[in-house]
Amino acid sequence: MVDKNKKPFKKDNPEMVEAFEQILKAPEANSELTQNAIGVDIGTSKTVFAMNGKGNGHKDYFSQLNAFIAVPYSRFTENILKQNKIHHYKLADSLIVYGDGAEVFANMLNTETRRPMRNGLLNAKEANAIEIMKGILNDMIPSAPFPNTPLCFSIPGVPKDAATDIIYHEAILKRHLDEKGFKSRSINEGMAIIFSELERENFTGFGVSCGGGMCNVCLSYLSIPHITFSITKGGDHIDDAVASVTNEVNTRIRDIKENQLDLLANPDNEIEDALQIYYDDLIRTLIRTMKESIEQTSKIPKVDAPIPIVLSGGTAKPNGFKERFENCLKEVNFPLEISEVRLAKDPLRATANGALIAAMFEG
Amino acid sequence: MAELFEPEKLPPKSYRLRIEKLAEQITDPVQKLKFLNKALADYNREKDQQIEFVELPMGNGRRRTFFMVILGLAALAGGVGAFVAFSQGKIKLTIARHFQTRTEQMVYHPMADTTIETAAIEPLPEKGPEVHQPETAVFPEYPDTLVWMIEKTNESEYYSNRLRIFTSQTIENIPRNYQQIPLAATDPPQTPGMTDKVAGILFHASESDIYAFQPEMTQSIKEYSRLLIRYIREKKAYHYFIDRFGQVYRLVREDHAAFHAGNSIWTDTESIYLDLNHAFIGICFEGKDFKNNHRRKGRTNGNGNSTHIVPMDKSSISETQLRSGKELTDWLRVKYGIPQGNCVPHCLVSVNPYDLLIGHHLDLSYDFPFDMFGLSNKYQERIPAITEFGFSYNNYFTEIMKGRIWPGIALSEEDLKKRADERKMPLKEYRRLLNNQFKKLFEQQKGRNHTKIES
Repeated sequence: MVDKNKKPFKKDNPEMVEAFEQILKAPEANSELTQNAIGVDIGTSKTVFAMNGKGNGHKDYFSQLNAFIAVPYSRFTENILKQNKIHHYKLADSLIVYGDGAEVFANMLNTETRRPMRNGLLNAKEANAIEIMKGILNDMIPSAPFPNTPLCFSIPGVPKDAATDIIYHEAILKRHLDEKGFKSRSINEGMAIIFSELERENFTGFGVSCGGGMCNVCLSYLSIPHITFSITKGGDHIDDAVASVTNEVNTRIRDIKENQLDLLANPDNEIEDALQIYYDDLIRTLIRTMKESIEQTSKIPKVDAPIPIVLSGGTAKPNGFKERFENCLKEVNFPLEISEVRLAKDPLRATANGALIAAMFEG
Repeated sequence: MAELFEPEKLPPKSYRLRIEKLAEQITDPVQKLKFLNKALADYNREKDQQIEFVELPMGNGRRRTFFMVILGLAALAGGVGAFVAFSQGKIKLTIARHFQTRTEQMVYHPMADTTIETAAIEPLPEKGPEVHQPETAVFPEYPDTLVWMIEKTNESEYYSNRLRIFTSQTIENIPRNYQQIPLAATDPPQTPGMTDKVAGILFHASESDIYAFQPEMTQSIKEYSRLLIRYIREKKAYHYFIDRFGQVYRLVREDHAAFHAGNSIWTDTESIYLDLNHAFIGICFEGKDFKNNHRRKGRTNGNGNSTHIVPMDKSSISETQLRSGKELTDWLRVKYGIPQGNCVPHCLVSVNPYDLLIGHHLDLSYDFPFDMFGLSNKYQERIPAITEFGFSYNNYFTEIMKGRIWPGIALSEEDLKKRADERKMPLKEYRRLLNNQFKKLFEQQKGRNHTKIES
């Protein structure tokens, strides 16, 4: 909290001192709206919700897989789903099972789940994508506890390597959340990482979110985003690429990647070798794009001190990712001096946490 | 693309540097964002040309260092103070009083790489009421060692005596508030004094099913503990829970009541405690003291209590759990100034107010390691329910406790008889007099108490 005994200084810009003193005078306990604020990380593979828990500074997190599977309708199946509280709805002669339960069903039926999100955006190739994402949001946050409860949801940056935009995706989600009584707004995923992890640095530095569908990058100075972009390479891209060169199924690749991959160790087999190659490719692409983006922009403030890079997201979780990133960074003549590369405290929740901080700020 | 701020509104470098210095003093991310937003939005370029900057009294980095030094000095001073006090044979540390004001200052912890609260050093308590039954007390009434918080995160608290409390599952109940009844009161006080003071600690056993404590059962043990915690939270049953691995969880806020004590009686030399849900903190050990005796199945004592339980050969509560319990008890005693006489197992306070019988609940009714906890052996001391209110016990109790009847019961009965003789009253009549006094207090308590009486 704020050290209330310290006066800022004797003589200064009156607006700044006033701003500081307003913070000093602000009540410690925030309003109900702020306390009920919600942060949502809508990623390619998961949706993570963050909200304030009971107790000082405690936060609660909930997540659901962004996945679904269609099974033929039968009353028996429907009862099983109801009894096990598995999210589903009936569509014509099918039952659409979505969220975490979809994976259970996919395993039972020995098939793959389908995705309502692709490359960080609503999947245009799936007719039910919007309904499923609405269903997941509805199940986790049925309605706003108070009218205009602030809610921030993450959106990706505009992809550097694909001709697409995020306008439709953002508008659909915002409209749905507003209809539920929230005062919603979007936050760039990289910026959310900065809000979550760079408080000590006054929100100055790079936030990099390496997710399933894409990697999002934001460079912020004093909480002002200067560069935001994304690349459409992420965990799914690595899975696809490795599966195709090793002739394995994606599920097995994903299992090895999530459970035993160590990027610091020598590969034990062909799959691990391929995983390391494609991880290197992803990291190099990411750093090269960061470098090019900085060189192409004219609005970077002159930063006196070196700035940090925070890595987050499920794709950044394997052991050695940070070290590989550091090594690749040394290979290029990066235009900004970097103080450190570090992993987010909780890579899977950092985006939702940052979105929650942004929502509380809005409240 | 949503952006919170417009980049083109960025002020010049000198102004930005000043903002940075001020922002460093705020550690709450939302507050810091608000400040940055306001400071940047309010920026006035014309006025900024005339700014004269003056150095901050102390920057954040220097303040961290300052705090770490202060903490180091405090620890050093605490150690020296304790040594001096010990060497003089009187253990009362006064150094802690310099730190009586809890600081909320946040500092950066170099080891944890996380923001934590600085140590909230609990002062040693002022001397409180002397505890009843002093003749059996062989341990100091008040703790003689400081315990203070050294780290706090969103998930846990860590204390100087190795105690770690997991705090993320803490829930609220109803604020602690109970009637303070003076010990001398034979009738209900006319002007009841309400208080929220923590007067003591009650130890409980969950008496839940237990898995064998073996490596291959780890997942089952953990899962059972998780379910038990969920149940306790639903029922708001205990303030603290210590699982089979000795992990300590705070489940109900300390400044709130928990429904752990049921109908119960305890006294110290100043007060009678009838509402221990509010007055005492409940610590529950996951474990079992009793098992089913299938040969006697179905027999009850008339109150619905079945007699088909028998004490186990050895309590399932492990040394690891007891060590955690001791650390927790030490810290609570320092924090709230709890005398050792007010730290008791549930069995010794639990009563049936209608039959006027002791031992309604029997958790921890044998083998509780009082010595290890630095407490006098309460099994051997007088039972306040008997001495103050003439409670007794029946065959049901003796049958279950066969061979393990607390010596304190005989002592209490002797005491009761002696006092009856002094008043030249038959014991039966004197007991009835005390029973009636209890009934008056109990009725008043019931009327006043908005909380759940039965746990």
